[in-house]
Amino acid sequence: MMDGHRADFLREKKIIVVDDEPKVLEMIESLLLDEGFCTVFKAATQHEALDLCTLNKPDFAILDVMLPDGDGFSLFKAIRKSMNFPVLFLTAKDQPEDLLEGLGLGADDYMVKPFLPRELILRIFAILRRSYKADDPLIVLQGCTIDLNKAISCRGGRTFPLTAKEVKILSTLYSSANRIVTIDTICNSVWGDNRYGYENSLMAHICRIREKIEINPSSPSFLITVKGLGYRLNVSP
Amino acid sequence: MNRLQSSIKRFVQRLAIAVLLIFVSNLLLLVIYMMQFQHSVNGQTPVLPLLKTFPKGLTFQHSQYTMDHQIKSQLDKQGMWSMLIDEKNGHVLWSYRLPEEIPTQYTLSDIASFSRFYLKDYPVTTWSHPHGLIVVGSPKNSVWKAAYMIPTSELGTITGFIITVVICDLAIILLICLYIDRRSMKAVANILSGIQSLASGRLIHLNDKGTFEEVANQLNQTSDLLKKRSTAQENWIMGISHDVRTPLTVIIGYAENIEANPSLPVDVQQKASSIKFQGIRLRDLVDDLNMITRLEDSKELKRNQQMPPLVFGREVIAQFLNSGIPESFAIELSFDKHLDHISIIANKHLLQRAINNLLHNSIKHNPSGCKISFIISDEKEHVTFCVSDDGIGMEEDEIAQLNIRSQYMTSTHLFNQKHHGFGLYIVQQIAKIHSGNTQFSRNRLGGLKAIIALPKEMI
Repeated sequence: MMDGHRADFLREKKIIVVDDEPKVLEMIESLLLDEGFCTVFKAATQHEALDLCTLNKPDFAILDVMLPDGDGFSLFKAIRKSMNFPVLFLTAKDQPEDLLEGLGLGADDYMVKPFLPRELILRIFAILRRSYKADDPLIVLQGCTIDLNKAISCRGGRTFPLTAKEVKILSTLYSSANRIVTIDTICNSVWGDNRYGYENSLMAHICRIREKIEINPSSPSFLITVKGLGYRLNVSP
Repeated sequence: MNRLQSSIKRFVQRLAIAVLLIFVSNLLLLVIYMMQFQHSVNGQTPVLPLLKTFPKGLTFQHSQYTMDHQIKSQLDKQGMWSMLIDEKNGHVLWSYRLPEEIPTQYTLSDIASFSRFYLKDYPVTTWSHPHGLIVVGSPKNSVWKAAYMIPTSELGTITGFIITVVICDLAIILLICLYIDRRSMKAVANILSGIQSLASGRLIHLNDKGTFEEVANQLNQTSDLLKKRSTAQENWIMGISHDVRTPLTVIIGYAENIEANPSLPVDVQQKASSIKFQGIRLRDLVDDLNMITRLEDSKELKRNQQMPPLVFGREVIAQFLNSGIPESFAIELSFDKHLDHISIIANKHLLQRAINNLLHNSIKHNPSGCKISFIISDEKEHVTFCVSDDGIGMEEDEIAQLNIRSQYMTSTHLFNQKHHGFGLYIVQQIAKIHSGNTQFSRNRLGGLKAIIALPKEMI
């Protein structure tokens, strides 16, 4: 799924899971351990969660909203008073009001139970990648390494400089690696709200990026076009 | 104007016509009465025609006056008396049944006085005769006499006066009718708006003071009852939904874990895959139930936003593909060239759900795989989102049923119909609350073609 170097780096992050249902806690813990995460803490109450956070300083939290001694939103606020790690709400509450409240508080994602484990893992990696990219800015592809901080790509012993726009495009694609990112999202990210009319410019930039990262730019294997929709950066061959 | 208002209007119109008819009939009766005024009741000859017969009926022959037999019998029949006064000296020349108290000599002033009023309390009438003045007296208290004097100059204004009175009367009738109409309308307007709101599913609280106090109270109670029922239903569905979600999380989670574990036998993995699939179906069912409850909530429409259809369409398809679909399925997006200048106003979350339901429908009914086309088009007044597949499609009668079922949930024949879960019903409802519509048909490849049409806005 993930490239080895990057995945190991992210899997070292400490995760705390808070849910009042022991079976759900067990299942998520087993899922995370199977995925290679080394440190997973479990808490069934708000009180327990705060103690664990203070003691272990986790890097990421998965919070249920309905807890026996309060709700996940107030737990989130309590955590934010002293810590600033990313948070994903995982709850059975599916009303739009709840989703808006959760995201409005500043959570990184909101998922409704029941969920597909694969989807949860992908979202966790996406959040970790976004949150901790400064720790390790390298995108390692097969036969190519991209350093977004230095704005260069290294392929076949050659170094290619990347323009600011190319870095922005790659950064946007990498934050949703292995997922389709729409043309509108990329244009919005690179050119802001006034994005209309930039589709052709985007295509030109994509072509130049391919020349710098792909072994065979005319038959790309990393930066894929999804016709009519957008592009996908495959970080695993 | 609604039916109740129309019926009140009709009632007031009928009332006005009734009042007018009474007025006209009264006028008619008055005219008839006036025409018959000169005719006494029970076939008696009126005084004036009788008087007119005197010049010829009272003759002077052989030194004495002879009265016609017919005049005599009429005078007898009506208890009248009569006399002939000499116009030269005022002597009574002839009399018939003359009461004792009636004098036999008259001056001009006497004649002038009784001719206008009474003679010794006898109502009298006079007529000229070749030999003098004929006086006919009726029994006391049998006739009321009054003398009117109207200046000639005023006579011409009488017609105008009568017309003015009639117009005033009609105007008063009209004003009364309008007043009743306005008052009735005002009184029922409150009730009407309440009934209309309840009929369209909205809750009400009417002002329960005034003419229809009792009705307003009853409507308020009905609204409260509906609210309680609706809240109970929502709470029940939300409670069930929440309670089902937790065990489903564990079921789907472990099932996927086992399915993806290559160290387990293939048949175990397949069984886990089947459990996961059924778990997902249950999850979708719970989602649909929640969604149906939510669609009845007007708050959802307050989340409408303006969005470009192409940007929205791309996002929906990208998210759908990112959530993972089997390799045997492919989704292709196509769109009209000029969509940049068009937008739609919609609840993004709901519309995304509608399109996802159509995509899921194609996947669910074509397990062996199919190609799905998602087409965004600019029509005359609408933007259309079309989901069309090359799968097995549906029978024509099933499609016809889909197109006509607007009240699926309240249908009394729900269980007699072959139906396709709540998914497509939700699509129809979402289009409906956006003032749009849906159309299902078979495409030329035999697959299902579903179109959601929403009103477009020009940017």
